[in-house]
Amino acid sequence: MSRQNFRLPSLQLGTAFDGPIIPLEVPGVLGRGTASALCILDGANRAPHRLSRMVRPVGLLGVKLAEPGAGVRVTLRLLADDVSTVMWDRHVRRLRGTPLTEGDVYVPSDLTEKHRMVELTAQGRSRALAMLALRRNDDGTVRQHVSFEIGADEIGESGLVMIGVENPAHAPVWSRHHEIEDSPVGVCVARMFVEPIEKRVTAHVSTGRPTVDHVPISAANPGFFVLNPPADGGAARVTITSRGAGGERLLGRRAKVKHPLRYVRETVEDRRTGAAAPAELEVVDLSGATVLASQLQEQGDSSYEFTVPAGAGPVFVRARKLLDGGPRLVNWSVRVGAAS
Amino acid sequence: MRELTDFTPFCETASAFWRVNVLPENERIILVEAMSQDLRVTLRNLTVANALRRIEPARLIVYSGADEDWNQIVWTYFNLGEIRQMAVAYGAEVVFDAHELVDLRIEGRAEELVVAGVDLGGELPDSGIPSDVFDQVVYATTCRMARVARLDDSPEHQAKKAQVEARSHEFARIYEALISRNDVVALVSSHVDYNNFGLAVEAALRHDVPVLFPQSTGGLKAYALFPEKLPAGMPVRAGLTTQIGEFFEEHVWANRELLARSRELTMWRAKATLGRPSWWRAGRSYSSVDLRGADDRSVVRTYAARRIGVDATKPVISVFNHAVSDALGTNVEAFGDLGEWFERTADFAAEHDEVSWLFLDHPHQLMYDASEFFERCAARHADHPHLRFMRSMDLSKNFLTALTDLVLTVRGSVSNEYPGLGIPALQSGWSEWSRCGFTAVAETPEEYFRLLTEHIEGLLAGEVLITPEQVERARLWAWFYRSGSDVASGLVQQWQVGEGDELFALLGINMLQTETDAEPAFTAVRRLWRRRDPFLTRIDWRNDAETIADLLAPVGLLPAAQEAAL
Repeated sequence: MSRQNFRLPSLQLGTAFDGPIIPLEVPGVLGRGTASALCILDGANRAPHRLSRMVRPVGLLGVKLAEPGAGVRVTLRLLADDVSTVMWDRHVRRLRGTPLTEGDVYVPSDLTEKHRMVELTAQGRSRALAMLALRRNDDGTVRQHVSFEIGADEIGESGLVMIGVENPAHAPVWSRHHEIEDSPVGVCVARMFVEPIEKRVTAHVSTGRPTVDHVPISAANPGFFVLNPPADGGAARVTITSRGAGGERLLGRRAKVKHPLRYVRETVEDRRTGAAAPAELEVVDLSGATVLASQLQEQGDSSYEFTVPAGAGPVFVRARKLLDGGPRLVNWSVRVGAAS
Repeated sequence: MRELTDFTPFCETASAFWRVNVLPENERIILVEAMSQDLRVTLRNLTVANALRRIEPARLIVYSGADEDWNQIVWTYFNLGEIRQMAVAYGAEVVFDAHELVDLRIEGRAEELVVAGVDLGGELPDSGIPSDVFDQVVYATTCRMARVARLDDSPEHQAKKAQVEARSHEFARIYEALISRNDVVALVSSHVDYNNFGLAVEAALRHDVPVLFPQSTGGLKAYALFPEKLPAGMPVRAGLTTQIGEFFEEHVWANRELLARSRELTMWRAKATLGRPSWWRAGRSYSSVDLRGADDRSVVRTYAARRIGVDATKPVISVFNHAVSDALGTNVEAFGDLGEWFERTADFAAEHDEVSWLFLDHPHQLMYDASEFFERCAARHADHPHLRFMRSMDLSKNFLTALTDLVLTVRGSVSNEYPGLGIPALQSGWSEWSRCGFTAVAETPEEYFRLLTEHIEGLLAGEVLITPEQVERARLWAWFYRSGSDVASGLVQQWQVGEGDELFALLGINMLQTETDAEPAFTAVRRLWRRRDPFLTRIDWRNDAETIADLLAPVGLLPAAQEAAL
């Protein structure tokens, strides 16, 4: 498409003081905002020890690659931390006409019950979704990785790869319940890994929460996860397994002693959510269209399986267990593979 | 709200400093406006006035104050006490509240107030201001106070106009009396528009008194209106436009080879939002331009076009709306008012879907419009998908630069910024730089639409609408605005220092620890005054090329040229 764009013949954007851009060799990693290959940055700041941090709801990172002739696999490490909260606070205070000033006593907002959602684009096309849900017990940081491929024909001779970070415009209403306003603001793009396409990108999920033993956990809050498609656009087989009732839990032996009633109540809740029962599934794509809406039957061991059809692109997935006559959000472990 | 703890000690320092750094007073006076809440503005006015008092002995007469309209609409912390304290420290003989005096005169409660030998509280004759000029000032002031693009017959507008008119009569009487009954060296005013500022300027020029007006940006920037150099019957800024064009041609363009490195460096810095050409757009992360070439631009254009829903394959014309009630009629304009230009351009655009149109509202419109002018205009054209209406700050400068193929404005600074990047601009009126040869300028609606049609045809035909020479001129003007006509003085400091304790600490250090000989503010004002130049300059441009080169202290050749030389 870029070749068909209108081109202004008089353009003179450069100056005699523009330093040379040192393109990123592939494979390579970008991890600092000062990297020369990060030649365009819009709606985001360069970060000294990371790549960049979003200061606007829409951001753009332009990265020059050394070998534009071949396609690449891009993996982004995104994180939300305490600095993200500070930056978000500054942003919303400005929006509301009460900007933070030097003299103000700053008290960070409590965002530990909320989440952020970002849609990642490359060369103007949607590629992936990611969620970040920072919680009190996260030691101040939560991170997620997402991967996608950019074809050789999409990059062009300039070697410029343009990564967009924004909020998905047509996310389902249920994904918005605990989302913070302008949620990309403050999100840190910590690292960008660029590799040749030797091993294709497979379907993967972003739950906003850390994995447990490398297994993604979709927590009852936010109550949904996002699934990114395999690079070939094929169908994805998803297995979800109930992992308790969710919510903040007291952990360890001391919890049992100090809060015996609460401990018992939580244990009972967890057992109840593990009971055999169908689950209600909703899968919505980036345009807001429902891709799947069905009732899943338990496969045994509190597991459920479903297939997201080929070509659906990145999707939002909500599964609720039908307990006590109504749907209930629970913790799920999520496994994804290619559909046979 | 700022708190100043170093202000009073600074005023004591300033008082001692100025006592020994100006000529003894005589009967002549210099009138100084101090009607801004920002002390940096008053600081610049008083510094220019005192620099003049080193050449022309005179007493300082300072007029200040703010009325309810200004306090409601513009100011948030106007403090007459601080302004008075500063003016007295700078040697003011009298500081009076002109707004309060006007109100008291209207109410018939004014008491004796003798300023420079004139009882401003007593009977004063009508001003000799021509009625059409007076009416224009009243109209422009009413629009600003009502925050509308133009007045209608509604009772609200007419009541506001009557109120402004009554106040304007009294302002005009006061200023006329002060100027006509005194030997006035000069008037120093931060603005030349609206009744409280503009009627003083008008009276001064009519009585052959030069007007110096410092700018609220940079270091010390000031324009000068010398009555003998102004064309009769033209708006107050029109003569300045002509003189700036002549000066630019004679001194800046003539020295373009010498300035090549500086020009490029300024443009490079401007792209990174250093300095203040884009003073309406704050935020480096959103207002810097990272694009370097056509390929970069095309990739970003694809992305930006998709986001906002315009066709990237067609030329995109960006129409930058003005703050619709800002300083109406103070320079030559093709249309009746800024709003009419915008509306008629939108009407024209609706009929031209061979190109895409971006209509961008001014970042600070809220302070200038209470009538939802932009939103109403957008609603009228909602059924034209090739017209997009957006707030300017909804688009980053990278996006704007990637999308814009032609800039339309009346007098906005975008008509300097974009031509500096090789993007043509069409102005429908004069600006400070409109005679510097890098924009197309229309003076009538017919000429505007003819030029606009030609530009659209040119874009579609792939023609070059702005030549490399024009790009060079635009960059040279950017350099001249930010450097050549910006005097770096320790007596005012850079605008970005702010108006807090840091400013007054720095000023105090400068006054206490630095000898004043060849202080840039003093030499620049002296040069302007003696030469009748239209603005302050950092160096003396009437020197020969070799001396100019020495004064500019250049680093050397352009980087590329350096590389080639190696």
